Amino acid sequence: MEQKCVLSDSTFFWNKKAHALFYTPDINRYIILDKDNMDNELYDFLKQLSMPFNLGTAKFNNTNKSINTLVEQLVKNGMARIVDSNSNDCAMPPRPFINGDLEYIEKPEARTDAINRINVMSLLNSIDFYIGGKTPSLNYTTPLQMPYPIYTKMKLKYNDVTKIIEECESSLSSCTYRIILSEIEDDLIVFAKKMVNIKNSISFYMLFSREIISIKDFLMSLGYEVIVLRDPQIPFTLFLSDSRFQTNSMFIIRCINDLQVFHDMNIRDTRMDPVVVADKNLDFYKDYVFITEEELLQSTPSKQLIFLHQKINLNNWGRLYIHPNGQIYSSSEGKISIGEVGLPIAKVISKELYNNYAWRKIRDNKICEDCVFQWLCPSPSVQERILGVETICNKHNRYDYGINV
Amino acid sequence: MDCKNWVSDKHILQNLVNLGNLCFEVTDACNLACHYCVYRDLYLDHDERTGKYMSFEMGKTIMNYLASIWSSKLSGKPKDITTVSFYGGEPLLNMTFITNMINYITSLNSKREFRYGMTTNAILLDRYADYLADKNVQLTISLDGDEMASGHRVNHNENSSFEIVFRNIKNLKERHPAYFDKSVQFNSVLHNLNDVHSIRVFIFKEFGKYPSISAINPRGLDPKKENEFMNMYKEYSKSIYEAPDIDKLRRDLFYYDPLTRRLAQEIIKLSGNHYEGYLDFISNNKNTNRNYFPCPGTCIPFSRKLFITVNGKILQCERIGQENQLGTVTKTDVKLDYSYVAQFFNNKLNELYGQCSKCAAIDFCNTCVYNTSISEFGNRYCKNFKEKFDYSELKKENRIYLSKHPELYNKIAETLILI
Repeated sequence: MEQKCVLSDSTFFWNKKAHALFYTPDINRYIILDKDNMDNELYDFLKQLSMPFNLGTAKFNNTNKSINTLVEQLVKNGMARIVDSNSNDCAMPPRPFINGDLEYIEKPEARTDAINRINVMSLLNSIDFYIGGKTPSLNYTTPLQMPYPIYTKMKLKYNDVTKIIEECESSLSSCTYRIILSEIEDDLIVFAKKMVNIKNSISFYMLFSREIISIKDFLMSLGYEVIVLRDPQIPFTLFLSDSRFQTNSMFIIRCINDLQVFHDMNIRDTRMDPVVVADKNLDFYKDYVFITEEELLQSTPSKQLIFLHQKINLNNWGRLYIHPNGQIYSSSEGKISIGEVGLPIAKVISKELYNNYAWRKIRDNKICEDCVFQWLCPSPSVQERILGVETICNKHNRYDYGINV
Repeated sequence: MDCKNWVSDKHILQNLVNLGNLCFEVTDACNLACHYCVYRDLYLDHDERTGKYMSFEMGKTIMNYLASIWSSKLSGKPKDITTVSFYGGEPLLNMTFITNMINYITSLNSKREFRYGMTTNAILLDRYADYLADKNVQLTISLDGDEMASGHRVNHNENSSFEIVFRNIKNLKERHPAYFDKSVQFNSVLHNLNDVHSIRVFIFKEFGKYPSISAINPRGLDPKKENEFMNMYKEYSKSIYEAPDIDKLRRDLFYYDPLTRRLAQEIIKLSGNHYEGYLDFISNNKNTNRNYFPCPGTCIPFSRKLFITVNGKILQCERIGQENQLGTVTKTDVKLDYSYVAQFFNNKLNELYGQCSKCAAIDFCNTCVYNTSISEFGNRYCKNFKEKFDYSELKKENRIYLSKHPELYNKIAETLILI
């Protein structure tokens, strides 16, 4: 007897070249199928189920054992229902419906109009100001994927920083500001005193050295958050012995040795966040950072998180980076400028939204498009670009055949 | 019963900073006397029409008031755009006001971009077509179809307006084809003399455009005139069912087909997959308050529009009763107290809060508080209140419809607008 399988409205189903995956966030259930040795009927059944116009439905009869087993598992786990084959029942497969979704607005005029209607300042999460300085060279040191100082002769003016912050604040944006210092100068003190009313929105980042002690204490006395960056490439025995450095810190990790040192330090009374940066260390990433399939299967992303992965880049969204030369970027890489200091920030943001250099870059490369974990994985990261890889996982096609519930 | 503050003075100010539409009732005079007009004796919820014309000074005063807000606060948008609309009566009867206002706004040299819009019956269109095209005024022309279908659109002597209107529109199209193509649209009222199909066929054949169509307004009706109203009234969905090629018509109507609209509303209101925009999407606080906001179809004052009547009343919309005054504009002064506006609005919602909180259909509601009714004891009540509402039945009906038109699911996602 022919029947129809109808997926539940909350079940995600991805049917890719090598695998098929069912996932229901409400109940945190995965079912993964390897398609390598799959019989033709089950293959066709999955194809039917994934056709957009079939809306999560596929007809089947009771003669095929593998289809029956799959449908039984789906129904048993609340991921689908069985109805009469003539029924008009169908699913509304989970997908985000966003008013003014720029993905679907291709005509330039319509896209500009849509962006002009958005309070773009409300989308802003953070601005990183790289102040620069501390070297006679006009060249830049390479920015890391974190608030790490850029050394160059060029310097961002504190007046410009102030104007930008005031602009954001007057539009009732809930943005936070990170000031990344390369050197300590008098203007910084004037700036810090002037901005004290919004001290909770501003934090200062500086690389560990003996010179920073007094300015760190000064900023902290005004109530600012100060983060001291610990780079293992710079000797730091002092840090361990001197209680004055015991403050919020970020510990930069590039390799297994750094990781070992971090664990060995075992510092009490200090908040120490490890930050892994990509820096010619692909092997380390492969062994210690990239995601494994086991980790993915243990994760239980919500529907909302999957939607976010499908539409925006969670690493980049809402972030701006302003470099010592006044150029503004939407990604920490600092490759494509979207404006410069002096332009209204709303205009700069609109350029990013229009062109999508970073904020809406999703995991849509060829490898990921063929993978069932495409939308379960985190958004593409700058680290992947720097390392020259297209995915954040270390294995692609190693799922054992079977139903894993 | 609990009273809540749904909005505050800050919301009101923020909406004024972001004001998208400033609408002037430039006159309450009209050169037509359409039988279904909301400002005639069929309805009670409007000020007496005395043939007044709005003075330029009044328009200038409100513009200066808003300009000072716009210069002191940032909207957060890449470009601030406000459409200034001219409404009536028949706005072309007060062209002095319109030309003066456009000149004045231009002279402000504001960073804000101003666009202009007008709803007209087109009787005087031949006289002002060149000016309107020159200023690229977005024109909405009221036309109910062919001569027979436009039978309720008559002048004060009960003579048909069709011939003059039709000729004027043809002339406009001929003289300013690019403007006509880009900036002119049609609005038709559905009634006993026309139907959805024939209106669309006629206007498309003659002018190459499809009109927006709405049924005769039922709000504010004089109970004594109910028979007269019912004689003219035609139900929109019924008219679609009576069309000769219903499938094609429904495809063409898309959101304007009630069944597609119902499906879209399920997605928007019940699926948990709809987001008001990117901020709503990223902040992950969707549906906060929405389920508990009384009369969810109500706009917060000035979130879409600020309407000024010819008598200087400030209202939040031209489609609500004119007794809902939020402030006043005179030739010299604007009286608009944001706290009062917020309180007025909160009170209106609170009048229905008790009923809404018990309504089984609140999750699917689109009612505007200003479209609710007052009982003989003076209490506000909602005619759409439901003690029981079968969501499963609604979902089942939508599934049946969707399975027959599966393409709609993608299309709704890709063309999502505020419904």
